[in-house]
Amino acid sequence: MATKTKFDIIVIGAGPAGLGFAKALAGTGLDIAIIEAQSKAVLMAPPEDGRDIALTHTSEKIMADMGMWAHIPDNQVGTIRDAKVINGQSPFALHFDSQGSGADYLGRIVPNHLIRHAAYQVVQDQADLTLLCDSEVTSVETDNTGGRVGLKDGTELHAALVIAADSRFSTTRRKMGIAANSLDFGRVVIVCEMEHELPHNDTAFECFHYDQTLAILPMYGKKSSVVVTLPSVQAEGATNMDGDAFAADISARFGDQLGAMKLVTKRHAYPLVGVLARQFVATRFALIGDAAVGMHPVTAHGYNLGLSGAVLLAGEVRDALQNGRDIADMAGLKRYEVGHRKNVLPLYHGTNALVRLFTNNTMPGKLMRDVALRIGSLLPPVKSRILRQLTHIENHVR
Amino acid sequence: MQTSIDPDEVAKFEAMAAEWWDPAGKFKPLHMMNPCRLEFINAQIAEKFGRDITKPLPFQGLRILDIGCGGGLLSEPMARLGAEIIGADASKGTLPVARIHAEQMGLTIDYRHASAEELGAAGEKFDVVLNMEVVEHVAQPLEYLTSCQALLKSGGLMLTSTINRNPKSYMVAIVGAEQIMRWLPKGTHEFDKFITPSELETMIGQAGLQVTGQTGFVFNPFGWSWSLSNRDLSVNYAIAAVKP
Repeated sequence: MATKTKFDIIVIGAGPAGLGFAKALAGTGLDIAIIEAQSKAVLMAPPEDGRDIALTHTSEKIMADMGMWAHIPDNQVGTIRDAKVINGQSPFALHFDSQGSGADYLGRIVPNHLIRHAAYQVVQDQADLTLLCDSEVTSVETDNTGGRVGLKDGTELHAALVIAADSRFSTTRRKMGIAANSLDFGRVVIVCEMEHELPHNDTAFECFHYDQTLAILPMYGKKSSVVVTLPSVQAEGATNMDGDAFAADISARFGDQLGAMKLVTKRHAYPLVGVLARQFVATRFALIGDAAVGMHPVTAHGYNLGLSGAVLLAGEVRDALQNGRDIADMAGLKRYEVGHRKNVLPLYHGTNALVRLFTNNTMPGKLMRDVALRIGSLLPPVKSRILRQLTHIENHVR
Repeated sequence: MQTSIDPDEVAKFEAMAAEWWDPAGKFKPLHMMNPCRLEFINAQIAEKFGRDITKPLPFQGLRILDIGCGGGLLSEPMARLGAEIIGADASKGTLPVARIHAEQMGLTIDYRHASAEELGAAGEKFDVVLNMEVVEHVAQPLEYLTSCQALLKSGGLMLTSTINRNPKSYMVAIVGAEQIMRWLPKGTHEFDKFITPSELETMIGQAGLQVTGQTGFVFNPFGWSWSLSNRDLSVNYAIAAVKP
């Protein structure tokens, strides 16, 4: 049982968004509790989960400011300098490189478990932070006077502000009665890491085949992160087939450009569901991370949006605090909602449209994406827009 | 202090507090304007008393009076920033509302049913007197401002806000806010009691204070928000003054 029950802020979920939000409020003197279903041991040493995260410049800067970057070994950081989008057998490819973007690279690739580890490292000794692990939330209520969170062990916690950061399948969101649009892509994403014979030259490949998409993201050394999306019915076969055969199949899909490939991790399969909460805030309550918006992974925005949203909300809380306003003041929460939705909506709908376009097997669909790629490779403004979205260079958080 | 309060009364005041503090409720215009007023107040106090607003409890050690405190929209932020705050209102009705809300927020605020004159008679002295949107409601502004002046310690700061008197302020504050938007009950403001910045400056000077600054609070109908302006004092504005 938790001995202390009154806090300024309760955060539900110790994932990257929840921990990032708490870290962004370090030094404010606010009393913060984070409730997490997993054990402390898992948070301290998160298991490898096959996921590798593409980080924008903005995310890298936020992580450096938070002290997280220092906890990620240099020899685990991949760099993307170049990205190629390949459409099935069509010769037209959108080609992005960091030349002309103003930065010498597009982004970084870091294994998810190392990011989680770093996020825990920077909050573990944070003053005024209480981490309640192995805890299950049974009830969440808020009103004008405060928020109450009930735990399975019978404890009732109180706070001025309650934050849900408990994944795209957030039960807190449901308990708060907040509706979400969800889009089941009917596909499964299989993630793993592979070593290869030839250097990747810091190039990411996005290959759109008939019913499947494949992303090869350059990790440190001669290793790449492989992300395959395919119809759910094919997922089991692809996960269970012989590792060498799987590697050969992946390699063949983008013309063996990296030479012979070898599977070096387990294959992890995740269902692909995009989720967008109808509202991000309610009375003394806010959704952050995937609980607010859960992205399709193909354009690699999920983690970056989660982190920038958490920082945005923490900025509003700091602003309220410095001006003597209530930290859960609706004006501040609304500004977070408006600001975050503005960042999220074009990417959420854009990514979904892109996925629909590229997983459309009808003749007009294929034609359309040929046209899109052709136009994209001919018109610099289209490319630079996509490039800006990929790198977030102009979009630095204040 | 009341020793026993009728539970029905408490429920009534809790409901009133919820209404008072609902940013989309009856007092929406005040809630909308409040962050802008606070920005002005906080900056003035921090500058006058050399406080760093980015540090926790920057106003610790300052004794502040919020006169015409209503439900406590300014008293609560002052308490959060560490000030010793007294909220005074001549109207008895809103004080229980303010008290209940402060208790719900876990804030210590001394709310009193008292006028400036009564506080002066009791010998109260303050570092800061917040005199926001009151002077246009009193019968004798100069006498009132003089009573407020008497409440300041030497070197103390008074922040006074009111509404300018001109055709634009009539359109905005009376026709716009009361008749068209119905943000405020009809009759909340009387145009004749509005005060121009030069009249207010003169009266503050006559009351024995030195004017140190002035700021306009400007409503932007396109952004639907308030902001501070050094130039536009045409409707809502505030004057800062110190006691020599």
